[in-house]
Parts: sequence; C-alpha cells; structure tokens
Amino acid sequence: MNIASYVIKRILLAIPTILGVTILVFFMIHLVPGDPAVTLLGPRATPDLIAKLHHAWGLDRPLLQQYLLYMGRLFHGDLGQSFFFQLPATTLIASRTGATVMLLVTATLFTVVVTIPLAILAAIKRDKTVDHVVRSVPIVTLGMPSFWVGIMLILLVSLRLGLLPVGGYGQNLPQHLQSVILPALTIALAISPMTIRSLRASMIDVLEADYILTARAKGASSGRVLFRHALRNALIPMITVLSVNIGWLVGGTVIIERVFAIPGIGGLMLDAIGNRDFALVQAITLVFAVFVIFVYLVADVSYSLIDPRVRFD
Amino acid sequence: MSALAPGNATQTLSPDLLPLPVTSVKDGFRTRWYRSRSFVAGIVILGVIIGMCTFAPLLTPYSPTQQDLTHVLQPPSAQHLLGTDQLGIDMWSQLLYGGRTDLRIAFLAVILPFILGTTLGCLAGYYGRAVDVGVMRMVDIVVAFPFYVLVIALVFAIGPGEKGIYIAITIVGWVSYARIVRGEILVAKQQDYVLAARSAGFGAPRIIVRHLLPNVITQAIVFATADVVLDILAIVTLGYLGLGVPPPIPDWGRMIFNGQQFLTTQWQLATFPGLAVVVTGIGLALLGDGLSDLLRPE
Amino acid sequence: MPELLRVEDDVVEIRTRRGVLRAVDGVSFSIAAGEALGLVGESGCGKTTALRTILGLIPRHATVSGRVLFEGEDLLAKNGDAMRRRRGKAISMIFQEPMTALNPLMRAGQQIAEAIEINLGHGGREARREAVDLMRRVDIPDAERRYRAYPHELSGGMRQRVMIAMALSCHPRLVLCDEPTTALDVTVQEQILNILATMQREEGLSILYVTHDLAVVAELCERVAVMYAAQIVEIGTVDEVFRRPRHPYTLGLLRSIPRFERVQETLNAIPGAPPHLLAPPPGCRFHPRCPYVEDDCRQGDFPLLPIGDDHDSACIHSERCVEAIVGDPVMPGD
Repeated sequence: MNIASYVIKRILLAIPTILGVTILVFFMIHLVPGDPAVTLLGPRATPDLIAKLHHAWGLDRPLLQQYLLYMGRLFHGDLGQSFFFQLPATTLIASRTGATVMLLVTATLFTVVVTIPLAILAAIKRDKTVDHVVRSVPIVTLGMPSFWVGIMLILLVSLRLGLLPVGGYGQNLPQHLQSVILPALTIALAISPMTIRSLRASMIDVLEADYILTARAKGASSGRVLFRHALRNALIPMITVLSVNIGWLVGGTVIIERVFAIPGIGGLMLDAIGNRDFALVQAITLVFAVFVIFVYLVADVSYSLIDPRVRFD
Repeated sequence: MSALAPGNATQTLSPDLLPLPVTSVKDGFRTRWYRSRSFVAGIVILGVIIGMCTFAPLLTPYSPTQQDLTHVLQPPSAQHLLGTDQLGIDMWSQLLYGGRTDLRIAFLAVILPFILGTTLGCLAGYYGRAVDVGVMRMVDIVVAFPFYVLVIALVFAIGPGEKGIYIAITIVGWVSYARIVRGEILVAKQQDYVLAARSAGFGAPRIIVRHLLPNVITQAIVFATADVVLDILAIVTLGYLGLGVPPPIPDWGRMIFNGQQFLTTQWQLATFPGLAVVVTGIGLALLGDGLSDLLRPE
Repeated sequence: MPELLRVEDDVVEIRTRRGVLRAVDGVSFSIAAGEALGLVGESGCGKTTALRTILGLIPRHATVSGRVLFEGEDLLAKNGDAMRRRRGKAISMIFQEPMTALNPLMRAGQQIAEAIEINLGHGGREARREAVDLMRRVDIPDAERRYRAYPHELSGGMRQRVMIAMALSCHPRLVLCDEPTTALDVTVQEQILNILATMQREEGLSILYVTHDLAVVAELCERVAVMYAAQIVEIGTVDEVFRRPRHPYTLGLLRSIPRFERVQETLNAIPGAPPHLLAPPPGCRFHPRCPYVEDDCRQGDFPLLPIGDDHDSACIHSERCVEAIVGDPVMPGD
C-alpha cells in the first residue's frame, strides 16, 4: 500500500466521525431553550414576523429535513449566516483566522521547546533529583486555571516589568508577534505538564527497549544511542502527544483570547455567545471539531512516513 | 523450542513469578493508608479547605453578597482580611462562600460521568464487537471537539446555571472513564477467574458486577480525583467567561474576572481566588497520587 | 589454552520494594581462548544477569561486586567509557529476541554497518561492503537486497543471523550469547548453531552460551556450568557433567528429559519449585527438593569443590549421584 491509498483510507475512516460531529453540532443548537426568532426580534416580535423568520430559516420543517438542508449547505461551504452581524459565518471566521493561527503556532512552538528537553532529561535521569522535580511540577500546575496564569503573567511581565503589552493584537507584524508571546506562553504552560508527563513515559519505554541494549552492546556511545536510536523512535510518541493535546491547545485559544483581548476565532465565539448568535456559535464549533479531526489525520499520515511497519497495514 | 529442554519437563516457576502472600487490595488500603505521605498530605490540605468553606459563617462576619458602596476597592485591613471588590463586597467571604459553590458543584459533577462512562466502558469491553464499535464511535465524536469548545457551546445551548454545567460536563466527561474501564476490562476478561466464572455458567451481568468491576474500578477512582480538578477548572473558567454560576452567587471564576480590571491597584482581587484553586488542585493531586499507590495490588 | 575470561565471585544485588535480592550470588568461572562454555539453568536462576555483568549492562537499582578479568584486566573496575570501547570490539553479545533487539526503524544491514563504523572506524561505503560480506558469511541469501530490508521484513532466523553478523563484525575474541535460539523453531535453530560453530572454528572465538536447553549446550560447547538459584552448582566438561553428573539438580534436569527409546508413563519432574531469591533457604539452596538430602545439607555454605579432572560440584554428597547412575545411565547408549 502506498502513501496515497493510505491517506485515502484514513480519510474514509474519518467520515463517520465527521458526520457524527455535524449531528452533535446540529442538535446542540436545538437544545437552546426559547425561540431564536423571538430572541432576535426582541420587542418587535409578532406572531407573523416570527412565522416568517421560522420559514426563512427552515425551522418549520421536520427535523430530519432541516438536518439534510444543513448538510447540503455545508457541502457548498456555507456555514450559515450570523444572526447578529448579518454576514456569512464563513466570512467572519476567515477574517479572524490570522490571529488565532499565529497564536496556535506560537503556542505549539513554545510547548515543543519546553516539553522535549524536560521530558528527555527526566527520562534519562530517571528517579534522580531532576526527574523528581520534573514530575512534581505537574502536581502544582495541573490545578492552575489557564486564564489565571495568563492574568498573573500580565501582572508580572506587563505591568510590573513593562516588557510586553497587556493585551490586544497590534497593527503590524512586529506588534502581532509581541502581543502573542504572553498568550502563547500561557497556553504552553497550561498543557506542558501533560505533554511532559506523556513524553517522559514514552521516552522511558524507548530507552528500555531491547534495541537500545543492543546498541550499547555494540559499543555505541551514549550520544549516539540517544540521537541515532532513541530519538528517532521517540518521534512517534512525540507526534502522538502533540496531536492528542491539540484539543487543549485549541480550547486554550478560546479562553486566552478573551484574557488578552486578541481578535481571534475564539474571541468571536465568545462574542457570538454573548449575542446569542446561535448560527455563528454552531459554525465555529464545527470548524474547531473539523480542524481537530484534520490534525489527527495529519498525525496518522506522518506515522506512516516515519515508521516503515505502519505502511504494511 | 527444543523438546529436550528441561524447562519444559520440570514443573518449576521462575522465582520472580512465585506467588507471594497476597493481601487483597482493600486490606492493603485499610492498614496502610497512613503510610502514604501523598495521601495523608492530600487529605489534610483538602480537609482544611473544605473545612474552611463549610464553616464559612464562623470565619467571617460578612455575607458574600452584602454590598457596601461606601467601601469599594479597599486594600486588606483588619476589617476586611483581603479587602473589598468594586461593589464593596468583602473578598474573604467571597472566597470562602465561593469555595462552597465551586467545590460542591465540582464534586457533584464527577458522579454522572463516572457512572455513565464506567457503565459504557464495561459494556464495550465485555461484549466487544458491535457494542464496542458503537461506544468507541461515540467516543471519537466527543473527542473530536476541544474540551472547552464543547463545554462552552453546550452550556450556551442549555442555558445559564448549575443544570447546564452538570449536563455539559457529563456529555463531555464520560469519555475518559469509558476508555479507562474498557481498557481494564479487555485485559481482565482474559484472566483465569473470569474464564472459570463463565464456564460455571454465570451470566454476564453477574460476572461484570461481582468479578470484573471491583478489580477494574480502582483505576477509574484514581482518575476521578484528577477529574474533580478538571471540573473545578471548568467551573471556574466558565465563571470567568460569564457562563458559569450566575451572580450574585459567589464564584471564584467571576471573582477573577472582576479583579482583572484592577490589577494595577488591588491585584489581590484576581490573585487569591486563583491561588485557592491551585491549592485545592494540589490537595487533590496528592490525594490521587497517594490513592493510586495504595490501591495498586502489591 | 590460555585463559581469556575469568569471573570471580560475581555478585549482583538488586534493590526491590521488599528488600535486597541477589540475582547473582558469588558466581565464578573461566573460559579459555577458543572455548565454548555453556551456562545452563531455569528461567530466573540468574544466568542472563551474570552474562550481562560481563559487558557492564546491569539493570537499574542493581549493584555489582566481584571481578571480571578479561585478558587480565578487571572490567568491573573500568569506568563507563573504557567499558564501552570493549563492547562490540573485543566482546560482543547476541540477544534472544531479534525482533525487539533490532531497531525497527533502521534497515537491517545498516545496523551491522553501524557496529563496523563504531568499532573499526571504517567509513560509510566500506562499512556497507563489509556488512554485506558478513551477511553472506552467515548464509543470508541475496545479501545485497536484504541489506536494505527492515527487521520486520525478515524471518526470525534471518534476523538472528543479522544479529550474529553484527556481533562478529569487529572480530571479537569473546561472544556472549543470551539464548539466541530459544525463540526460533528447531530447524532454524540447527542452522544458527551451525553458523556459530563454524564461526568459532574459523575465528578462534570463545563463546559463553546462556540457555535452558541442555541439548544445545551438548552440541555446541566443550564445557558447561549449571546454575541454580543464583549460584553455580556444578561445572566441568560437557562429557563429564552430562554423562556423570555429580549434583542432584543436574541429575534431576538430565533425568527429566523425555527419552525416545523408552516408553515412559510419567515425566520425571523435579518436585517443588526454585526458591524466591529474596529469601533463599539456609544451607544448600537445593536441599528442600533434593532426594538425597541429609542433615548437614541444611546449614552452611556450599562452594564449588573439585571432584575430578575439570569437574567441580557444590554437593557434599555427590557420590549419591554416582550410585544413582549405575544401572540407569543418563545418556542413551552408556
């Protein structure tokens, strides 16, 4: 089996999940108590107008048909219309993607930079002091609310030290980068305990493998053992760790964007919630879920590129 | 393997595999609980915090909803241990009563996902095939959503208040328990004692409940302690975002949100509620670590 | 023949939750140049651990004491780097399970070439050529193509040949074998043993062969040491030990092998089980299971004592074994 057919096979396997996701998203909005038409119209609501809106939105048709219509629109790339802004959800989301992407990428970078050295160090010096320190840190940090960590960072770095902006996103690229540092750091600190713990465990598994013993028996130096053998085999769990935690990375952006007032998709979602803009909330939730599934897919494919055993499914 | 190998003919066991006197898991727990430093430390910390929140009326004369617009944004003093917020409400009382709210909801919120997840995990692990595929598909769907995205969306959809929090956390949280229990059952059902029970004609429900579950549930219980922390964080985060417990009921998350505006002057308003969460988290983490050590069969 | 390796009073202590355990308790033996010594015993008797201490590959939480003299130098006294330079070059090792002992992400041939690069300092292309040559010598067909194969693409026997090639690549003087044929089926096992025997002859290698399979030792080795509960209980030439065993445990092992030429109703198993190494019995460790046990077996130390020409036994009543064999020889045709 070559790479192309492997990719296609994985995509096909993901389809039922995507369908399930759309069902969940679709029905979630129907849990909303009250009538969206009434909410939108507010004091101007008359039975006549309400009925008109219901008809315009297709709310007077049977549930299954509504769902099919919804799926039909999705296939055309139509994520719905924001009630509040009276603009296509797609447009709104697209306009805010830049900030979120920058935040996500920087946060991932920080996470990798923090996780890999610490996990490797703890695995190599297993059960020594360094390892105990690395392992006890999560006990304290796992209980720290990410938004609170962000606020503390603002307090210390922005206010007391004046090194970085308090919030916002800035006008140009250098300002963007500056504004994104603290938020990305906050997210990285929030998920690092989990990623370090996972990677450390995987590294220990790799280091205790028989082929490491063989390499040492061959006379390989510790450096060679580490880089030629251990690290390469640890790449797989590293990718796993990152992709599994993508949900936390993305969820983190939603919260942190609010803390630092960054105009990203997460902020848009929270605004939409504040405006009771059901369609927009629905659209953004769907986008996030599809993105996560996409990341899992990419991780899967990269396994097959790294590990020759995987291709022969 | 060579037929002449003596290892085949002699009935010997590797010394490492020889059964040493086995204490049942519960016995070990009862006699040794005080020996695990983590467990004891965790219990102490939690005890102090829960105690303080429970006996809040004894520890503060103020009510957490009592406004005093003549004394807004006061720094810590003899009358107000941690100062007051922008409505003149005493911070210390808010902290104590807020703890009541948040901790109560968090502990309660673990129960439904625990029951639902454990049940589905058992069924999936034991019956396998169609049941397993079905449950795992549901897991895939839930897991595709970032935790907070789904929780926030659900809380929004269901409406403000406690009810929404419980439902949202249940829908999202059962997954971890299901995975853990399913994994344990898949392993456990290969064990001899299960095969023995099945050949004795015991029905599936009896096997699951009487034989498999007790051995399998310890992992779920240990996870539950970590889950409480997660739930506290979720509740507090929702509070911060304005989607949690509605005012005027005191809540640590909302306290932090209110306090964020005054970082330059009264920084303690935003800091202390967070510290309260952190300390509670430490207590629960230590408890979980200790528990996992103690419940591990020797 | 000059002595190549001498192990003196090797002790490996492991710290466990329940106390200190001696996985290897005062093991001593020697191997001459060009000689093959078999180290036999059941799983858990400490033979693998003893083997690994020679190369310094001891488990975590373990401490080693004693002396391991290789060509006169004490390996245990050497620091990490000096030890490393010996590995693969003067002393190499072959492991039991080639599927896990080979790096699954690296091509098989490259792993052989790596050993050559590390120990002989030959560069890429030359190392590769030598590796392919080696693969041919160990009877791997189509060596050029197999060089580029990944471990999971090769059969068990082929993987083990790769391991042998790797072990022999730098012309070591001593090869340590940790049950290399246990995971293989019988026909493949024969081929591997043939390769080892040929290599031993052609290169003048010494071999230390750890196994629980007495037949393999009989085929490949000149001398054998029998281990029980972390100690050596009998050592001598294969001929002596297998034909005229002088320790009840060895006798029990040999007797328990099913015989083709006799109809047996029951298998002769040694009753009981080996002791747990955290609390070995006082006196002779085999005494609770020994059919010839006497009062003075229950206390004291029982070191190996010479009872013949190149034949030592730890049993103080070894003449009982001599009596037992009369009329009921161990080896068919005796």
